[in-house]
Amino acid sequence: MTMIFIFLGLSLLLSYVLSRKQPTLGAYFTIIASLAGLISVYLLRNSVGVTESFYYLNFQITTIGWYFAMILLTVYFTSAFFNPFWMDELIYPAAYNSLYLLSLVGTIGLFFAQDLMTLFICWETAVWSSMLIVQQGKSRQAAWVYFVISAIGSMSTLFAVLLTMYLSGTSEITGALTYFTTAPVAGALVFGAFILAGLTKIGIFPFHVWLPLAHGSAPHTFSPVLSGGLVKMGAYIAYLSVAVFPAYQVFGDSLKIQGVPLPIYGLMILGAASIVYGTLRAIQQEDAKRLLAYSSVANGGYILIGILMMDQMAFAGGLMHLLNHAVASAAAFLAIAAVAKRTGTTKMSELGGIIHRMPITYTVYLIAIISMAGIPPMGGFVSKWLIFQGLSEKGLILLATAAAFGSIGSYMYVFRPLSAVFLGQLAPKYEHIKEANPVMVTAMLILTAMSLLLGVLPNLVLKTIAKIQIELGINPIIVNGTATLTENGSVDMLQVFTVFGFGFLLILILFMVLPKSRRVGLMDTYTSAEFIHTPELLHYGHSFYAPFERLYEKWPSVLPLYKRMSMKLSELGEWAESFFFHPDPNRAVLWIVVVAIVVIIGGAQ
Amino acid sequence: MTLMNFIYGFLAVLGAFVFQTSLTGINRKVTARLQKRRGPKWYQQFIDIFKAFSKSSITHGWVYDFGAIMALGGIAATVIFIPVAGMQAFPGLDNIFVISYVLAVGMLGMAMSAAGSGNPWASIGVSRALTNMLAYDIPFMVVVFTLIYQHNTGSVSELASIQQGVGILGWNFFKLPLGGIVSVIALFGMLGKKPFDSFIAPAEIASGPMVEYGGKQLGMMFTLHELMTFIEVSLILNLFFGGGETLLIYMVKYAILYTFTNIVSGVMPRFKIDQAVTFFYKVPLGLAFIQGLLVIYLGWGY
Amino acid sequence: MWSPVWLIVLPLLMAFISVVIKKQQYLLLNLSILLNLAVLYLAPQGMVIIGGFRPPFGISLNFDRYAFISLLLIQVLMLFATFIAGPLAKKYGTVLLVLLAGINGMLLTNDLFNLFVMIEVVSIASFIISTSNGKFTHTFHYLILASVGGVFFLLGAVMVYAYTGTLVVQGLFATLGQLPNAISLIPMMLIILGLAVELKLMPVGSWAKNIYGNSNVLTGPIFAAVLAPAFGFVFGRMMGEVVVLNPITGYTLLFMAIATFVLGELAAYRQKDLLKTLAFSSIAQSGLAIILFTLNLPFAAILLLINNALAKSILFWVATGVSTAYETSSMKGLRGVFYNHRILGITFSIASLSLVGIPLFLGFYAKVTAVMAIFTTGLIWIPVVILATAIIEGAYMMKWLLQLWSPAKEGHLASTEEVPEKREALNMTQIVAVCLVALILFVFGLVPQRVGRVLSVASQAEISQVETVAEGGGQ
Repeated sequence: MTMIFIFLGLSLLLSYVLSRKQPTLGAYFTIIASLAGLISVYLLRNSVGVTESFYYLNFQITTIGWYFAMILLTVYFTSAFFNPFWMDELIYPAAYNSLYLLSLVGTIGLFFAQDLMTLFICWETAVWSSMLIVQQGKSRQAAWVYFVISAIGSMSTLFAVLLTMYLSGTSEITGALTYFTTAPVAGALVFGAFILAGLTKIGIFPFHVWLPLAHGSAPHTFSPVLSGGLVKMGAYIAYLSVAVFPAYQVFGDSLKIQGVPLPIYGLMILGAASIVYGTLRAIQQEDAKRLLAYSSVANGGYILIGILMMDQMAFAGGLMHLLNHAVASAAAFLAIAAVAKRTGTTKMSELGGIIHRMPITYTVYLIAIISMAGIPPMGGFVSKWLIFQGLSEKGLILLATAAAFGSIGSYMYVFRPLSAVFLGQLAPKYEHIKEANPVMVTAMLILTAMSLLLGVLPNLVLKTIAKIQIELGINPIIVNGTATLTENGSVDMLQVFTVFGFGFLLILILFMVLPKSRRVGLMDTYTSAEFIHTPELLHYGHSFYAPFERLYEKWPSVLPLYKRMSMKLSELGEWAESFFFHPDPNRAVLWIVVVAIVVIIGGAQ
Repeated sequence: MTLMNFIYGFLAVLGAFVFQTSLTGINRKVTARLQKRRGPKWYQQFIDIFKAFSKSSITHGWVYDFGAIMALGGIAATVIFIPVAGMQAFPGLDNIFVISYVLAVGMLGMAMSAAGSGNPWASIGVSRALTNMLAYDIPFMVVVFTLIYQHNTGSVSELASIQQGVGILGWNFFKLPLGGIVSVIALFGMLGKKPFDSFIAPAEIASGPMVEYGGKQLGMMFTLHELMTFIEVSLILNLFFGGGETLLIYMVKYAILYTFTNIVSGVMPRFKIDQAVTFFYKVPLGLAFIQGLLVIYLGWGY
Repeated sequence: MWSPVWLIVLPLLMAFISVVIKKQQYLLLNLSILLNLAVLYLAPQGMVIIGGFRPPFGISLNFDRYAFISLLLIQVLMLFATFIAGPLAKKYGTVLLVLLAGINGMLLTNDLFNLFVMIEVVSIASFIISTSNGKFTHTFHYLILASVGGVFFLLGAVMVYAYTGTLVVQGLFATLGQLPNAISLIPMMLIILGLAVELKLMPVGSWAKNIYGNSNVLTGPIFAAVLAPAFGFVFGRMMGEVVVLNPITGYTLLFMAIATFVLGELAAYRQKDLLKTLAFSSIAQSGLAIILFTLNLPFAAILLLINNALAKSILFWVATGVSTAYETSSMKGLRGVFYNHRILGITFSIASLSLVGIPLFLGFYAKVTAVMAIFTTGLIWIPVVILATAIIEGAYMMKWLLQLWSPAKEGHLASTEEVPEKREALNMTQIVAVCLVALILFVFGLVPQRVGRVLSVASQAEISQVETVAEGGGQ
């Protein structure tokens, strides 16, 4: 395992050197390096429990860590295919390539960290290296907000890590965190500080503000990594703080709601809030990438709720949703990136009818959103189904409602780019664009195939998740051949897929049998007796859900709150500066005297 | 999974289509009588559909056709999942979430095909249809969650059979009256019956997902509508009215329920789409929550 | 032969010579620093008594590990500072020599009165150096405050002598601790307040804003990387050997230090000027070091001082170099300059990441050590404050990094056309020197535990006193 880190470390240097010579070469090298990482981590699947030390960093292979690392590597690997084509748009291509690999090293290290210090070091490495990548996108502001929100999480983790190490006297994760079974008060503090990092990184309401900014304006090749990959670091922290950290024992005496301790329930409510908020905001967006970013906020809510449930179904669903969302979201972002490469924009109202020029990209996007919306037979369905079953089994009706809202609301927002970017009228200026480059298409097809495979044969992954559940001592999800069984329901996705295919086949035959249709142009449509000859005017891409959006357009947004907070800090700084650092020396002398008097009066007593 | 399953599945689709289309025809007569007309023949709906199938048609590109096939295919598959009077083509696949999400494949296909036509009026219709869906589905889902919690199963056929054998009072509609009312209201939304029919608005405006269809595609959309109606009414029937012990009882109950919605719809005005959302989130969602809390925290319904 | 006395005498001697041969000032300066390094390396450790009288009558120098570490740091940074400042350092050669002598004396002396003298020498030298900024009003401001501080310190020293009859630093707290609380209170307060001016502690450190904020390639590093740690080390020595705190003085000092730290960072947060940002950052960091010394946690404090000195020197070299070349230090004017100066940009980034305490750099080790050490005092709220403030610190440092690296307009991809026209900020040899310091910082970051082992010996030498404020202070 150490070898993987050394290898990746060396290859990041190498990619820097190569990129200095020829940026595209270095970018191609990132594909190779991440593929090598992917393969070598995959080979570690049977060596669970092995510990290794590299200098003062300690690593251990765990099933869950392996699972997370595989997700991340998949996303990094597939997104890397896009890197070579964006080199000319970046101002520091060499830095991009090497930071790309550095952030990969950081995230993988995080998942394999054996002690808390290693965990934190890897965490921070991933954060700052990815921030420097985001900076190369369209907005410095976005990179900054990303860093600051992450820093809130990092500093609270650091506090939790150090306090844990101080109190428990060990830094080994499992040993240190289980110490708190005997110290619930300190445990509550540590839990709060620790989970905060998870919340900021997953982008749970109200810490979601960085996602739309960073995902929306990062370089197109890095948005999939941010959304599909780096957000999952937060999920890992959430996992650690509820599964390894004995959260249910620490809060054992607190008020319980349907068997869930109140603090954990409160976090779940935050998850539910992000589902609802993310969904509503995603529906409003005019930019495809921002829309997908808000969808990541919503999906983060599912993941958080699932993981916090710590039961047979929802927990498995949460962990599986990680993978499903990573794959689907990466594919969707990559599809949008491919479109942006050809058209130069991600604004939905400026696009339209791209399907007639980029059908493969369209198909990739379609499959991705079907998975993201949780429609069978794609992966997203299985995980959402498990979460629904888990929530309704426990009777957590408020959370279940939010989950249902997010699920059905997602039809609305995922359909929006489908309709506005790919369907509808093709603008004449995009008449001559071509399908995405074969290299990019390859990456997208890999992800698409994964989405489909996960939907049809979810047990491939659920088996690993069941192993994790057994390690944690919870009732594992039961996999029986192609069927997935839970306490209150079962599903056999292969059969669902077959039946679906059967239905499709029936109709296809019907369609074939019926008389053939005549092909007409896109402008040849019914226009209620208007004569319109401009395709752009006949494209419905702006304010797609206007009547619905109108219902909540006046709702306050969270970002201004942060802006106001930042401004208040500046004002406090200004006050301090003018009060204590005034250029007039008289004031300073006055202050010396004031302090002296205070001390003398106070000390004389 | 044997060949017989698939044959049963095919028969289920065919049966559902024939049954529901006849019922639609009859109901066209019922509506006409409400409006003091004589109305068309009971098999007029069949004539309409087959006429559309036989006509020449146009296409706006592959996604226009593909969406239509995907829509009807998804809906046909969903029909196969629906348990009718305890009969299922594929036993064990009747989880309520599976059904409601496979249904969504059909919806998505239809939306895709409509938007693929390039007609903005169709897209407007899709936008309304999806908004409408978000409105009616949430209260319904809350009720479904309550049911699953109460009976600890998500299987539609099991939920139906639990209600059977103790007479009419065993029905969930009477055991959980608030939830029952909510789901019947939601059924109006699902079927696109007034007051929630603004996304189709068949009579007045030229917008709606169907605007661009003609010929065989229109025929497919008609078929899709019939099958979808079958799925939705069956779902409510199974969940709240005890399904049916025998096929005959099932069909009678079904006919009554469907005709009821049709009659009520005949005398209703129409909500604008945002009004529909507000309505659903105020009244039915509130009722559904009350029902859910009563069941979960006070144990009502056991 | 190899006595630490040379560390003071040699620069002074050179200073006299340099008055005579003006042309060789620069050479003499570098020569004396190099010789000092040799002395440092060769001189045996221990107490050195000058003039044959035993303390308390004679003057004694305390050359222990603590002094060694601090002297080593100061000589090295002085060497780099004078080298990089080049022509400016040539002009101020004599003064710099005096400054060096003063600082070395300050760090070595074992006599409270001598300490006062040395502080005055250093102050005067630094007044003169600060005039190279060309802003005499600010120097005047500094002069007034430093003089007031000096007087306070002298008064304190005199009172200590009056009450105890001795001025020997080592172990003075034992004698002072036997005095009644009300008597020891006033000299202690005077000494602390006297030092507080130079330490830039909050209500009295107002001079730093403009001196640092208008600095050039000489004064910035000298003030931030040489004078600041020097006074930090002196303060540490005082806290370890002399100062007796009672709850009132202890908590006042702690409160002042925390306020300096928090408000300093907040003030830095709002700055739109690179040098002013660094100025407030230095003020804040000095507050943090004082918090640690006050809580009697010298090891963490020393680590922090070293990290801060190395990082700040790089930041100031790059910042002053760039702002001189582009004739502005505002955020707008410097946008994207690192595109032209990649190497400087990388060193700047390393230094700022280390300053903020990002892992893989020395600053992280310092921060972790500090927080862990404070946990042992039981004051859990202080780490909370420190880490919360670290968010602010990270926020503004990152804002600067992003601004300096990326020339893009907000909402657009960066293009090379927006980069300001390239001008020479530092020449090649200067860049190599800056890189060397950055390399030192980077390597320290890679082997933090080894650095820590060396320093822990030094920190043990500093302490004779073990009480902390948290446990009720004073005897």
